[in-house]
Amino acid sequence: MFVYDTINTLLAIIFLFNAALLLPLLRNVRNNVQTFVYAINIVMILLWVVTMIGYRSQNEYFDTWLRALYVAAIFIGVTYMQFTFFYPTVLRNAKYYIYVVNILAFGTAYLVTLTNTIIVKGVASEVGEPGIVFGALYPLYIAIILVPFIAGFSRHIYLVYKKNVKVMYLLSGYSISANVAFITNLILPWFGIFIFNWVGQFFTVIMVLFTTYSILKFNVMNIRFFAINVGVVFLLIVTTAQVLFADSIKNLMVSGLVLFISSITGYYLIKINKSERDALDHSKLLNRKLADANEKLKSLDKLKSEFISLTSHQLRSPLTVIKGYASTLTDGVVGELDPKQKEIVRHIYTSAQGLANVVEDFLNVTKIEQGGMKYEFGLVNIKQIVGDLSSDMRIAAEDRGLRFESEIDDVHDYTIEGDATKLKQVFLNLVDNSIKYTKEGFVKVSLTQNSLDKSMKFSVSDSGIGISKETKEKLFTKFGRGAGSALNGGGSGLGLYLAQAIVEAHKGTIEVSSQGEGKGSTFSVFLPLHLQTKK
Amino acid sequence: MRKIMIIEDDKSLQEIYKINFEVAGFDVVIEGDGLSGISTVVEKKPDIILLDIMMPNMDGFAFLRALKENTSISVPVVVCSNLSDKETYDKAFAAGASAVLLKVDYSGKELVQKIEGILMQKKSAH
Repeated sequence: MFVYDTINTLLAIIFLFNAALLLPLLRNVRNNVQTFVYAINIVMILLWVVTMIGYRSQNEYFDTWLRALYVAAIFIGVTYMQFTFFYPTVLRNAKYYIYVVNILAFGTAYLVTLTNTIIVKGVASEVGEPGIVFGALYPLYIAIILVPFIAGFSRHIYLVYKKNVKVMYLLSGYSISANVAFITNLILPWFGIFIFNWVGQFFTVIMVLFTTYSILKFNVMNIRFFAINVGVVFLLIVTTAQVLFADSIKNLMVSGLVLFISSITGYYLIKINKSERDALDHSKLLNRKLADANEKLKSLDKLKSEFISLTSHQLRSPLTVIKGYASTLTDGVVGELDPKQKEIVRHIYTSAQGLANVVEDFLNVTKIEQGGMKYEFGLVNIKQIVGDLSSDMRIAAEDRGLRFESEIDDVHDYTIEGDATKLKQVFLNLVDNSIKYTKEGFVKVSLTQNSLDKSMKFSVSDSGIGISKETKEKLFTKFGRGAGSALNGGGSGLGLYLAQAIVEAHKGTIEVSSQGEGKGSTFSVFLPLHLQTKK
Repeated sequence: MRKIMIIEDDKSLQEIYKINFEVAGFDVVIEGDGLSGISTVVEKKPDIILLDIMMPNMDGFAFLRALKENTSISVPVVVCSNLSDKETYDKAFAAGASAVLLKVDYSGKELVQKIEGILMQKKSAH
């Protein structure tokens, strides 16, 4: 039925190339409209190649093949345009454009097949390429093919301009193939030059190569894995054919060797491909599991904070009552107690207060760890805060027989941007610690600033129990209390951990230095000063 | 005499507050929950209300809303609860509280001083 001269054989190979591209597409057409449209385009190209082979064979169906060839060409343009309107995203109103172009295409197909307005007849040739006598409407035919291509190219050129690299390869392949075909298969025949009439079909190979590259590189339309397998099988079929049709021993050996190498390469390619695909599936599964676990954690986290919030409320209620009754007694509201009784009730009060502080610390740590610690930033006058707390703490220190010294710079301004309540909590905590861990000697508070890096330093030094090197390292960790904590008991072991978190939230640092156990210690807080805006 | 209405369901706290405020010279009215508080507030005409949040029948938030919507009296309400989350604070202020205190932070005397301070501020504002 077909005559296989050199060109037709070449075209048959081109057909196989296109078919190889179609196969992986077919696997995905059912669940993807873009792939479906693209597959139809490839089917049209296949028809176009086959009809060219038929037409060139110049057999008894010569006229039928000729007209079929020109019908196939129309639908390549139309389906290409449809594809560009669907890929990578669906163009708005795409449906209406496609309706119009399809109506025109079917109209033209009618003219090509059943009238002589576009094609009058084919002219068979014994020696060269067969010729064609075109009708008066042939220019219209050219337009009907050109317009959808121009529309399709415009859409993809626009997307490439918008940096869509995936589309770039598809566009490049199609534009090279289509431009060649436009000249060799549409324009030259118009001028009676038929010898290149098959070149357009041949050049679809460019489109196939670019598209394949794009599929492999970007996994366009999600068919990369299958495409590789099809490619390998295709390669093996071709090399096997070479072995089977070898016409000399030398060729047979060469082809055999090629087949051997191809088989091994192909085997490993498919194997690697499979493991890559399994890995991808596996990672997708893991991702889903992780997402699920994350959801569960989130709800657990919420439960946890609700639980903590409720628990702390429940703990505070009896503490409030204990503190309330104890203070009612010590304040003499219901009559004076004797000094011993008063001291005992005072202990009840301070212990309850200590426990309330522990609850507070736990609550704050939970807030910090869940990122829920809320800071109310504003301009804070540190000098005032330190001054206020110094007078409170002086009493506490002197009650314990300690010397309380304060060295507050009264020249400079100590305004910073921060949460006044929380910073006060940090400073109080440091001074309170110093008093707690100092049996005799002094506790000294100082406030200085460094004009070079625009920072301020609050420090508390004491002549207390000091800190060993080992203790220093874990001092700011949760429950990382110092060795001497047995001295005073109480406290949550969270104070310095909280202080550090709060200072860091103010973009500051907290440091400790000590010459060693028994040699006192110094805690320093560095905070950036608020830069005055020029008035 | 200054009159304070204390809306609090804890019997012990009721007693502690009553003793401390009476010693400080307050006329004290105790109500056990928001519902009984709202039904007597117009008749009792307190100068200030000390309000708990978590209570049976009608909680503190509902009391604040009812006070705003169902009565025409204007009285400062100090919310005093052991809830310390920001949501509680925001909600209480939004519902019209004049101040929000953490109960456990205050001894009886300190609470009295705090309330006296708020009453003083209110007086000087007028």
